[in-house]
This record gives sequence, C-alpha cells and structure tokens, in this order.
Amino acid sequence: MMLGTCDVKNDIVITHRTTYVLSKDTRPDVQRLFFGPSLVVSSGLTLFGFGFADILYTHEMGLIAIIATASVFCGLQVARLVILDKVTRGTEQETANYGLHSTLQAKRGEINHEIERIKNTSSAHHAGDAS
Amino acid sequence: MILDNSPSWLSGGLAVSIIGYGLLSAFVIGPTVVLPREAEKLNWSEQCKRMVVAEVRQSQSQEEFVPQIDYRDMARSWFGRDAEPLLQLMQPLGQIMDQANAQKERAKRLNEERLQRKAQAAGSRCDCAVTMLGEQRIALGLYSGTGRLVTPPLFKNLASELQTSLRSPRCADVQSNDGR
Repeated sequence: MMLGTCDVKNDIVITHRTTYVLSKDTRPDVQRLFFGPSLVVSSGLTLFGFGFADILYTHEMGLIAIIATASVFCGLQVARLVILDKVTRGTEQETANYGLHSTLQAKRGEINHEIERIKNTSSAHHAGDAS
Repeated sequence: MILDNSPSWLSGGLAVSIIGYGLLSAFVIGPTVVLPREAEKLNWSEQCKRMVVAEVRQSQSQEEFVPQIDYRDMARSWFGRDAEPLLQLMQPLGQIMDQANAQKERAKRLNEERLQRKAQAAGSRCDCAVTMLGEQRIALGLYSGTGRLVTPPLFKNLASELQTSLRSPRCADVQSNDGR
C-alpha cells in the first residue's frame, strides 16, 4: 500500500505530485520515519505499565500492551520513499511518497533497476565514443 | 545540523515525541491517573475525612454540662400532693425554664447538623488537596513518565504533602464555602 502514485517508466519517475527524470546520480531511499517516535511511545508505555502495575487495572494494562505493540509495528511498517539526487541533495529536487515499507522497498528496487540500466547505457555510450 | 547525518528513524519526530510524552505524563496521565490512585492507595479519602471531622470537632467550644432539671418532678417528690398549688404559683418561672431548655435543645441540634454538613463537605476538601498537588507538573511528569524510576520528594512523602495541602488556605476555603 502506498499513498499517492509512483510509476517508473523509461528514465522517468511519475508521482502524484511531480515528475522526476532519473540519472545515474539519483538515489532512492526508503526511510522508516516514524520508527523513532514509535519506540519512544512503546518504551514509555511499557515503562509506565511495569512501573505502575500495582495501581492499574488489568484491562488498562492490556490496553497499554496493545498500544505499545501496535506502535512498534506501525513504526516498522510505515515508511517514506525519497528520491534523492546525489548532486542536489537537500534541495527541492527531492520527492517523497508514504506507504508500507515492503511496497516502497519494491518500488525502490524498480527505480534502482532503472538507474542501473541508465548507468549501463551511458557506460556503453562512453565505450562507443572511446573506440 | 547534527541530525542530518543520523539515521532517518532517529531524526524524524523523535524530539517531538519525547516532548509529547513528557507533556502527556505531566498534564494528563500524572494528575488524572497516577496521583489520585497513589492517594487512594494510601487510603487518603478515609484518612482525610477522619482528619477533617476531628478538626471540626476540635474547633468547636466544649459545651458546659448543665443538667436539665424538671422542676415539676422535683416539687412532686418533695411535697407530694401539696406540690400542685406551689406549681401553680411557680408557673411563670416554669415557662421561662421550659423555653430555656427548648432553646438549648435547638442549639444542640443545629450544631449537630452543622457538624454533619462539614463532614459531608470534607470530601470536596480532600479532593482539593489532591488537585492542588496535581499542579506540580514537573514532579508529576518525572514520576509518571519514568514509571517510578525517578521519585520526586512529592511522592516520597505523599501522605504528609497531602496533609499540608489539605491545611492550606485554598483547601480550607473549599470547606468553609461548602459547609455553610
């Protein structure tokens, strides 16, 4: 699952927001953006649950355990696909899509595959020019 | 920026989530869950009501014990049948004594009712003591946020802190307003 669209077609990545021309300097990156906050939430809740076990009701402890587990699970599952350009990193050339980590990793693979193809084509051109 | 070179999961909303967790502990979980339950664990409400009632009783002046004298019985036991003319003669004085006895009874009943009202209002005064401690946000945030790993002095001496806030002018006002 992914929010928005991200299609890879012949050197071009078309997302719901922007169209991006791939080059050999392009680097797709999948980041688990919410993993840190989810760890804070789950560790905080776990600490709270164990620390105050004597004054909490059983159903409250169950709820805390569910939220803590769900938090880590969501933190691991939700990710962001960023298409960075090694040359212009940190500028508006970046584009991002949010979605499930597995879906975005597959999309990253597609983009990497396309970048490899571009690299191979350009090195073939260079070899052709040299000869 | 330092976070630019750190892993993405570290840079995200980590600081925001830590601050959020701290604020949640200090302003929501601490005052609404942790503090009232810690107080209840000390059996605060019962202990507090007993204290307030004892305080009210102590603050009232001790009534002098004045035995009620029934002059009619006394006259009859002393003078037998001859008491009746004497009682007729003493009737105006007897009425005054009856009125004084009735007034004394009424004052005693009113005083008892006032005492009961104050005892009932003790609940809100006890709640006031807990609410007042709930305003110590930093101590609450540290205590509930760390799951008792950090125990501020407020929670080390919770019973005495509750008693102190019970006696504070703010909580004393709660009782005098409610108990009127």
